[in-house]
Amino acid sequence: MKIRYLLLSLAGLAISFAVPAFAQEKKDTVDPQVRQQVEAVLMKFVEAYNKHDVATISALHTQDAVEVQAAGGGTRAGAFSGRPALEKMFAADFASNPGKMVSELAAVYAINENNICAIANTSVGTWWKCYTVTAYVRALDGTWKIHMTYVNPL
Amino acid sequence: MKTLLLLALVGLAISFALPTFAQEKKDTVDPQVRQQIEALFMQFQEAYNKRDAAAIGAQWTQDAIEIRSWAAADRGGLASGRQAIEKRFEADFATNPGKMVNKLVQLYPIGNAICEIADTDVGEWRGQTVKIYVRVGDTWKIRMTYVDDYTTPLRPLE
Repeated sequence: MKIRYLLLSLAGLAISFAVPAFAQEKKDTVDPQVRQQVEAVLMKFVEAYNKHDVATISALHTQDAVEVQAAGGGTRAGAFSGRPALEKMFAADFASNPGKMVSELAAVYAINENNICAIANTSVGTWWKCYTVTAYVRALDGTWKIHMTYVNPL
Repeated sequence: MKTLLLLALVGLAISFALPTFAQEKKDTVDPQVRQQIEALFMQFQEAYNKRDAAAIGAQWTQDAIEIRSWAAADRGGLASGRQAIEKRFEADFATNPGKMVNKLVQLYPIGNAICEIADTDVGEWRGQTVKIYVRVGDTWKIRMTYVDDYTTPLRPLE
């Protein structure tokens, strides 16, 4: 009998932790299909970066995209606004022969139905690591484009 | 039999609960930092509702950036630097906007900075913000804000 009460209490306790987790997930959940689409854009970005393909990277951004880089980890702080500025920035980056980029989504939030905020862990080469916060906006054909990226080196 | 059922229930519930703890440990903002950010969050709203552009400006780093997802002609686009941001808010206040009511949705640690996602309502206008707070001395300042609203048109095809 005592074991049964103990188990019941344990079940209650564990459920009380599990239920808020579901509630939280429901609040922040992005449609799985949208998440896949955003993840696909991130993967295309990583592939293009590793091929040093500035044109493809540029095409993944909106015309008015902005990238903000925080100082740290050898990165110079700055803001780059518009595709031409971004292209120049990536070209300069590739000229320094960076290592291989690896990026993994850490969290995805729906800002609204046409805007997704994705936080990713990214590394380039063996020592440069950063967090990126990226806003993806939906284009008229339903594809997602990068509108803003904040890079925070670790 | 009942004991077996209970054991299965406990196992199942724990299997849901444990990943939550693991996730929280990785993604949770320190409670003290959370309090500090929440205080800034409230101060911003108060300053906005008092039309106090200087108090709003003081919350940002000197090199802060504000990006509004709509056209520059409607006070959207990029504002770079604290002064430009202050001016932008002064221009907002000149249009006599409604009361600002913000709701914090999520705080996420990104290394030594904090990413905040919030809903922001100003009168009838409904928007969403992504803010990056960085540590400056013993306080937090806004390094970047990205603002979007439901009415921003979809991006044209290129």
